[in-house]
Order: sequence, then C-alpha cells, then structure tokens
Amino acid sequence: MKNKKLIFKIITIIVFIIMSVGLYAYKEYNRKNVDLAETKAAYSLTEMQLINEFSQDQNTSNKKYLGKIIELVGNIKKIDTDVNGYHTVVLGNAVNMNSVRCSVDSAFNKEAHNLSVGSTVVIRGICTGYNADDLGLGSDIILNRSISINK
Amino acid sequence: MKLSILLVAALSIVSVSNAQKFFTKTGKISFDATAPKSPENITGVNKTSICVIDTKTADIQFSVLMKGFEFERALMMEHFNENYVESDKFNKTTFKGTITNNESINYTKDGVYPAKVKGKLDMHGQSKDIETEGKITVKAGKIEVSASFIAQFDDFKVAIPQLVADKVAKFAKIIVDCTLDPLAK
Repeated sequence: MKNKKLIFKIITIIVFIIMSVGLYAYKEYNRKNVDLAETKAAYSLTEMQLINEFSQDQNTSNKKYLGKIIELVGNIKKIDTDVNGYHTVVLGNAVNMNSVRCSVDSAFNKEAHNLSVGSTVVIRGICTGYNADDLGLGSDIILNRSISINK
Repeated sequence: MKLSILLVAALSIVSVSNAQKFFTKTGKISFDATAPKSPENITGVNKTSICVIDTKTADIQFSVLMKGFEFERALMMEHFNENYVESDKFNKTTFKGTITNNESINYTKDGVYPAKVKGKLDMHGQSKDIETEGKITVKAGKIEVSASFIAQFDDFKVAIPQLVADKVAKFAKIIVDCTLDPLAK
C-alpha cells in the first residue's frame, strides 16, 4: 500500500516535470522578438554622445552597445527611403560627417513618414554595429528595428 | 575611323566619370539555411548592408553587420548570433571582389546585364574565394545588383549541432538584392 502511494507520487512528479519542460520549450520556441515599444532602453543618450564614443574607441563601444536597446535624442539630418518604401532615419548634425542610421521597424514605417528633417526626435532601436568611413561619406552607427517614441 | 573610336572612347569615359562609384547603405542580403526536411524555414534578412561598386575599376564590395540580421523567432536570432556566427567576436562579414565581365556592362545605358563576380568572402574569422553569377540592372541612373551563391558552413568553421541537423542545412544560400545610388562627389 505504502509502495503504491510512493510510486504514484513519483509518477506525478515525473509527469509534472515533463509537462513543465515541454511548456518551457514550447514557449521558448515560439518566443517573439522583443517589442521595442514596451521594452526599456539599456542606454539613453544623445546621438552626438554616441557618435563621439564610437569615434573615440570602437572596440569598447562595440562591447558596450552591440545588441543592446538604445534610446537616442537627436536631430534628423536626413530620411532615406529605399525602393521598397522602408525608411532610414539618419541622426546627426549637418556639420559632422558621422551619423547614426536608424533603420525603421516596418511596423512603424507610417510614423516615420511623418517625421521631418531638422526636427528633434526620440528614437529607440537595437544597436547592430559601426561602419567606419570607407566611402569618404562619414562613419555610421547602425540601429535596427528603430521606432520613434512620443514623449 | 581611328579618331572616331577614340572620340567615342573619350566621351564614354567622360560620361562614366560623372558617377564612377555607386553605393548603398540599405542593401538587402538574406540567407536561407533550411534543411530539406525541416518543418520550418531557417531564414534571416539584413536590410542595412553596405555595397559599393566602382564602375571603372570593376571593384565590388559588401559589408554586412552580423547583428543586423532579423529573424522571425527570437530564439533563432539568439542561436545565430551566439552559437553559429558568434557575432560578438566576428561582428562583420565582408566581400571584396571584382566584376570579371565589367567591360560588357554599360553603366550609362538602361538595361539588364549578366554579371560575373569573383572575390573573397570574410566571415566568422575565415576567408574563402567565391565565384558567382548575377545580374546588374541599370535603371534611371541607379544600379540594381542581384545574385545568389552558396556558402558551406564547413568552409567558415560554423558548427551546426547534431540536435538541429535535421532543420539547419550544411550550407546557406546567400541572396543579394541591392539598389545602388551614384556617389556624388
């Protein structure tokens, strides 16, 4: 009798473990990319501060910022629109050749349409890297899946 | 006769030098590493690739930030970055090559031209010669580049764990789709 109870207990525990592992695996597998509108940024700064940090020390900045969500307050220098209609908001000032290129999340493309050059904007995106000046057009820091934040 | 050929040559040099270099910073490069029996697609897309073509020297260059690849599932992106391409260590993939049939492409005349490209692909700390054929489309002063080629993971020391070998193929098909603007000097 006592044995039976014990076996039953063990089976229950095993089933429970299998189910939780399964549930965890299922959830992990279906996990969506982070929603930038709902996630707090790891770093908040101005576009020029970020540009200066990267121009001074690329390696340290890479370690600090790559893959992280960054929120930038900055001046819109230019808005690029590609053949598919996707926007890239270029932050920086007209005097400095270097900029931050914010590739706009396709879901926020409409909002980006209403932004205007010369205005100040708050943009949140994932920093994916730094491209040194190969073209003589200035270096770029790239933010991916960027969204503009209304404050 | 000789003079007229010379004149035409001189004129074409003048018109080409108007915009010798073309570039984009929003090039699209995607890959497909789906194994034949995989129930889901293993694909990623990068929309912030740099591509530069020098029409005079026939040089063609790509630069792709590995963290810039977007995936449908967050887990796929994490595995890609952490386990496969180790993007913390190898942040950038570059391709440097030449268009070997450059003389048969008229960059000043609208049209679709077959293009042959040969060069070196640097990825994951490894370097490998790549040769492929693609298409260059000249349209309204812009250049569209499209091509695809196969990159074997073995060549780049990208290890695919046995556990996912039925989903992830042993190679990736790399698809290039970029529209380049003239570089104004």
